[in-house]
Amino acid sequence: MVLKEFSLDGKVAIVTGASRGIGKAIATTMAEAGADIVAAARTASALEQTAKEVRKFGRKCLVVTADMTKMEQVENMVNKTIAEFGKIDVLVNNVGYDSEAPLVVTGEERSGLLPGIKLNYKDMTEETWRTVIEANLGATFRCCKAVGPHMVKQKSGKIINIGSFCALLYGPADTHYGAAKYAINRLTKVLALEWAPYKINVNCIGPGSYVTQIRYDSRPHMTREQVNQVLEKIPNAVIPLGYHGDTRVLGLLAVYLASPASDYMTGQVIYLDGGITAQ
Amino acid sequence: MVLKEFSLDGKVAIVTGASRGIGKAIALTMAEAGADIVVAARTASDLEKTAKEVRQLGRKCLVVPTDVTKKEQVEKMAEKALAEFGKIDILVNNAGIDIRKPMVSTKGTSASDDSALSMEEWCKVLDTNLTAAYFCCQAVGRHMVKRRSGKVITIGADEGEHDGVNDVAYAVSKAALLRFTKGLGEEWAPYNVNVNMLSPGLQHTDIWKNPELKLTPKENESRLQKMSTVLGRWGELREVGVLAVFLASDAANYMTGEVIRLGGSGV
Repeated sequence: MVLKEFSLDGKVAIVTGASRGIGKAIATTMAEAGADIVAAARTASALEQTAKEVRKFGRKCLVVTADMTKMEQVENMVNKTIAEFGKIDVLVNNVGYDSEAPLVVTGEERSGLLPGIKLNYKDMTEETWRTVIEANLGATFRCCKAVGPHMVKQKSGKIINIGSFCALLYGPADTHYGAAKYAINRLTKVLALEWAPYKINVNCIGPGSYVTQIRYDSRPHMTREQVNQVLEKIPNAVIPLGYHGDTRVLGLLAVYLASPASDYMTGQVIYLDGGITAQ
Repeated sequence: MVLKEFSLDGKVAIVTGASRGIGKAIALTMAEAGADIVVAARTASDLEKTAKEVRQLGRKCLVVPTDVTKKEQVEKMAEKALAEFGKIDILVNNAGIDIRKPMVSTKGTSASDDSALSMEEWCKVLDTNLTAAYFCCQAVGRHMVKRRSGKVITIGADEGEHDGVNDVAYAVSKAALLRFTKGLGEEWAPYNVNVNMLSPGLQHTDIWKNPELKLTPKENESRLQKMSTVLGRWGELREVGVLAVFLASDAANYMTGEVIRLGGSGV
């Protein structure tokens, strides 16, 4: 017996970065809960698998290519959504990117989990800094800015931002990523307050450790084998519950935050991390 | 009897946004505590006034006109400071702006207009308040990390942690700067470089007179009302200056990745 408040029947949800990983899990789980999905990312081909799985649940899936760091493309995504569905109930700001870099490389950097190996870091460049800030914080901001006026007019809407446990806990060479993710927490709260009069809920999910592509892409200074070794050690070293999360649980939390069950919740950051941030 | 740990004798400090307000107060108070100062901001003429007052206190002052949102200019600023003084002990990332506008137009249509924050305004605030700190910390940090000694101070704001309605760009930029401060504090701990944030509370500076700042007298009053539940007054700029001196001095050697707040907003 599933309580009706958890249903997303009749809802339309935009999910950015929906090709894989957390975005894909959220898109497909929301579809399973009854929502039609707008799956957005930079390349259409990468979105096809997600679209296929959404449609298997009998839901519609509009595939939109958009670079969320470009406002015109974000606005285009929103316009296409309105043209197809006439409304936007849910926005999931999941696009993200990371690339570890110390501000100043000294050569003394060492991995806590892989002692004895030399890390081939490069100094933080302006490009790396801007890309990380823009792909996480800038993208979230642009999507909120483009979708906001529609939700304001509707006097309803659910915005779910994707943060990270890195907002609260320092990790190596992540001054940019940590700053961007912590800033998303702040953006969540300010918009929750600013849009409360319009009955728009704005909340944030802070994922812990999940094994997705970003764990590899964010470590240009390590080999794939070294990243695998790090991932193997993380559960015992860092996660109280002792295992990496399954992205489905993020989908389930996102469904809750997108559903009427969470109408009285706004401005919250919920960490789904097996206890990492409780430490 | 002033404890010797609070002295800045022999120190060299860079202060950005030093023409007026908090930056000027910090530059002058640090000079009074014994430091030679490098003042940076966009226009030389404004900086000269600060420089004059630093010199009146018997300290040296190097004026370096710098747009801190431009990486090359920031690197030149660090180079000039080193060329003049041979070392940099302290960096105060004070340059900052505020553009207070709602996220979407209050006129209730889907088209954005001048009453809502534009992308350009968002970028300008983020660049000045956050990206500039990255540029300055990197340019100066190279020297401090190699030397295994240094004190970096960033300037926070209440809005970085509370409220921020109709002030999203400023609030978000200061929040990002807070986490950047903590992250850098951890990153540079092995090299004995301290990185802390000073959150000044309610100070009556020109940031309130900014023409883009659409703060009505009523909003001003309500803001003060909110603060009055704790201390009931605006802060004095010198109170910010003396805290900055503390954070820049040997007294703060065991403090890093911290946020110290004036004005009672931590309550």
